[in-house]
Amino acid sequence: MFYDLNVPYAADDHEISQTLSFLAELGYTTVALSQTITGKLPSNINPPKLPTNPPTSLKLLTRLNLTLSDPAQNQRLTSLTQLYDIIAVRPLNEKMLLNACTNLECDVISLDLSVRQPYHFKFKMLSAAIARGIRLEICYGPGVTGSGADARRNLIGNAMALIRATRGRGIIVSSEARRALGVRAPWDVINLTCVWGLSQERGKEAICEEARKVVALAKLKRTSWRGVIDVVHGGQAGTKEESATKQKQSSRKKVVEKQTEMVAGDSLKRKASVSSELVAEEPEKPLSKREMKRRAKKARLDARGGVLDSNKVSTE
Amino acid sequence: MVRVKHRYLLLDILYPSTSTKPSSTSSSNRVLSIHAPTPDTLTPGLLAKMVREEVAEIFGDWGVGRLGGAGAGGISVKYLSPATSTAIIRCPRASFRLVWTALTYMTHVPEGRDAARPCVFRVVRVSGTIRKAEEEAIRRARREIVRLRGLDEAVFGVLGGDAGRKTAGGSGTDSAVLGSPVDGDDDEDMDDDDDDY
Repeated sequence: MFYDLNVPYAADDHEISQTLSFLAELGYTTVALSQTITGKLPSNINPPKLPTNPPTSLKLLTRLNLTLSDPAQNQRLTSLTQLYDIIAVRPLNEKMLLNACTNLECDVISLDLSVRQPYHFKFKMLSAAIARGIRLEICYGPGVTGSGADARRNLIGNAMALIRATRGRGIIVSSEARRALGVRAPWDVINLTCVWGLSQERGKEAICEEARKVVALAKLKRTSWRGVIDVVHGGQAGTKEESATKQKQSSRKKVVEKQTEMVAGDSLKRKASVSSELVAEEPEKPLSKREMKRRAKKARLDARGGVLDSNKVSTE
Repeated sequence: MVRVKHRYLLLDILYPSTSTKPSSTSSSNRVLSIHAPTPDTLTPGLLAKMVREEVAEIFGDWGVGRLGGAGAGGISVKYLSPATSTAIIRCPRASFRLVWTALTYMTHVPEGRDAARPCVFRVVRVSGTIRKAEEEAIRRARREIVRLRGLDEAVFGVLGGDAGRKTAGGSGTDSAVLGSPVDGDDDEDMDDDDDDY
């Protein structure tokens, strides 16, 4: 289960099918095709049509990259949320980064790490974003393929700074490769993150678990009520013959409570303690076979002892 | 007696098809073009030199020093099969991540004179003994063949030709084991080979 959540894509892109088949060959399972918008938002935004016949093993998502430089720009973020599977923002200065970390309704913060950032990443700022369920993204593409030595050096430096500032938590790694040649195999990427300063487990999480969390959380935000309750199966309207028998079932809606750590966060308290106590008590109830045997034997012995005693008494 | 420990990196060379050849549309053709054979200009010595230069470019003198100095020591290519685009590289255990990173950053293999072919190096196995790396190579090659056969029966003719070429090319190199992924009796050969290294 490897994720690559940033593959640039436009509708008239002919190389995308080759990139996708190469990604599938390398072992990725979920790929997000991203559309980048810089500056002023156009009046109607729609995700470009997905490429025809992608490899069957790949799950395709749509993603919007918004480049932010001006605080008075982002009023329509909530309306965009429904159109794309993932919304990422790319703040260009420290002020916008702070805004994105604390306020903006996005899923991923994707900084451009191949240029020099004129400020330091602060743990307080980034941890606020991580606590809200927003992940920080490192794109290795510009550093690996020939964007020059400067891009590579900046990428390594910025990635190390980002890892240091976040203590290695809440980081995802994706490619941002414009061509198939810029993509690397998952384990090669994990090794890269090892060299940048993450441990191997964290590196693997960055490309598997954390990325999966981003996708799952983004989906929850879009479909469910506050990320807490989601209707998984709405029941079926039975046909006429079966309606009598199935009436009971169809009247009952299956509502599944999904508990996510991040969304419910601080404002909504969940009663996690109740369920955990129940679970803790349950295993004590049934007696083990061994215990039952022991008790049976004890009872038998008691009974026989009683008989013997009575015999003794009778003989005497 | 102190034993010097090594890591063996088993790697694939992949050729993601560029837009110059849009004709290959079926999925098995795509897979075949990704796993295309490597040009013969890539020799074991040349590959070792390329890796060493890449380490020098990324990690500088410190990196080359970690590999064991400027001489020929450190990295050696134990096995290179151009037909299957597979190689086994031996490097010091303490600095295998440097070599791996250098491989990740490499983007070309030389093709002919002064020409270079874009490619991607993928490390598929890091092993402490060459025997395990070899077993993994055989396992992977066999699995690929089975997968391709399952993928598209219609392209079986193409695949058969390709497998034949693989065996022919593999037998020419120093260990013929990797070249014949379809045979069942590889294991005896492997034990013999193991003592050589």
